[in-house]
Amino acid sequence: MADDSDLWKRIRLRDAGAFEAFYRNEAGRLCAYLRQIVGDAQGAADVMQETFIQIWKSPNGFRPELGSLRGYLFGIGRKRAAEWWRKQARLAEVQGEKSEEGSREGGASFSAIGDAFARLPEPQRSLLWLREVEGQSYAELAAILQVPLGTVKSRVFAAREELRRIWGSSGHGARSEK
Amino acid sequence: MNCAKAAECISALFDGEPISREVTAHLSDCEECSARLNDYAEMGADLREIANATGTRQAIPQGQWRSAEPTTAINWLMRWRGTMRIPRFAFALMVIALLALSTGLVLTRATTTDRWFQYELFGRDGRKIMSGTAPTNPGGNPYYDVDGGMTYPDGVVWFRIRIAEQIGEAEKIAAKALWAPKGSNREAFRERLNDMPEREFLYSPGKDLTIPVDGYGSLEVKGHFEAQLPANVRMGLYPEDGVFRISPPLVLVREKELLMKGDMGGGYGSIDRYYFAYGNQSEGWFLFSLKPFAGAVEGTLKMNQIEFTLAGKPYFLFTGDPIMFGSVKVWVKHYVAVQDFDPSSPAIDWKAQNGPALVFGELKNLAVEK
Repeated sequence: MADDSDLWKRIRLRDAGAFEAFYRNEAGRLCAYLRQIVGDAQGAADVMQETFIQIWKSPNGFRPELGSLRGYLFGIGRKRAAEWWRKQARLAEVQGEKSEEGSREGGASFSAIGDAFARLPEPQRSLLWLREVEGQSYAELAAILQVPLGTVKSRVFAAREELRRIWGSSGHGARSEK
Repeated sequence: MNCAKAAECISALFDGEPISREVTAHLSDCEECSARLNDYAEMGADLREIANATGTRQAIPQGQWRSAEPTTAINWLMRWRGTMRIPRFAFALMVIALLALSTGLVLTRATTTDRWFQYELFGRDGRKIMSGTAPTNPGGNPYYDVDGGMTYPDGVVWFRIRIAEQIGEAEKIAAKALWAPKGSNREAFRERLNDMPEREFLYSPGKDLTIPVDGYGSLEVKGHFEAQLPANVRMGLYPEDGVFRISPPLVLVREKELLMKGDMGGGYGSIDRYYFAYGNQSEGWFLFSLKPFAGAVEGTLKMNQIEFTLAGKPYFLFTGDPIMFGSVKVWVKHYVAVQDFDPSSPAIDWKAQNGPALVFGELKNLAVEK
């Protein structure tokens, strides 16, 4: 936490070196996370860049007492990803196209759990990624998602159950059939 | 306890959250719940494996943030300083008789200005909107703006008038004026004043000056010159001659970092006898004096801003009202505690203080460096 505060202080003082280190440390993880939300590698890369640009241009809003700097970064990334989806929807409307689930690039489709994970609704995919891959605590998730702690707990459970159900129905999760 | 009730607790348990003994007992006896826990573990491990195999191992592209201008942080201070330059009179939406912002300019200008311009501003119906007194401004000082507005049944006329420059026996007056018809966005029209170019008029004493305003008619200025500043104008925006005044809020900025902001009571004192200091527990004290003292750095006091540099870093102190008129030198030094610069001053109880503190003291008590 103290490191986050120091780093944030330097970022606020326009320390480009500090921000570059921050970018190098977090860009890959953020991009992987965003890919689970937008379902498209190029889209995720674009949103990732927009997220860092936003923080660099307006370094305010991070409150160390509410969570980690990574959590703050992911929270902004999530909002930017939501904007990305809204833009895509408008674009599809303008072009008279229907946004097809299948047109998206799968987040990770080379394994059984990957297939099941890709079929989860986006909010659950995002939540499980943050919890299982990024290791965000319930408190950090509450800050990122801006929901109460108890809601995080129940949503994580619901997401796990849904993943387990899809995984099991595809014949991979044998134990779930008991 | 049944599986449905235990399930959410098992998810929490997997995340390291505490669970009740009842759930623990159920879990140890229930195959289905044990299987759920195992599935959670396997799913989590697989997801982390996927993450390792994909995103986090990808080459990180060059960050585009480098080409993004950090506009907000830098411009914030510039914008703020610009708008804090001098408090403007509130816009009045009734018949008003305001004194010009130049009220009190006698502090430094009385010895340099030859005369004062007393004027009245009239609307299209011949009614007086406002009156003011300003130095004739031989140096072209930019601070003499007056803002105002006058409402009518069919709209509002906004105006901004500057006593711009003394030219011989005449006075150059710069003006912006705009008519906002009823039903229009008044504030938007007022904002448009900022972008309008000034129109310049040469005014000769004793004559009337007409300022045409599209859609409204015209504003009329009548005025005359005085050799002495009227006494009723002297006391106003600025403190008396030889006195500095500190009005809240006090905001201290180092580079672009807000160091402290306080809304405590203010005070005033003779520039020959008194100093003031502003500080808090973490940043220490910044002592300001209009007289030089040992070890202090020289800064600039301009209206309600003090600008100085310590340890290579620029500092800005802003106050709610002008400290003095014009631009004068000020001396500043940083201390850790009050007693370091003034042993006669009582120590600050920071627990009770709840925020930064402002103190005044006599210069003769300063523990100056030998």
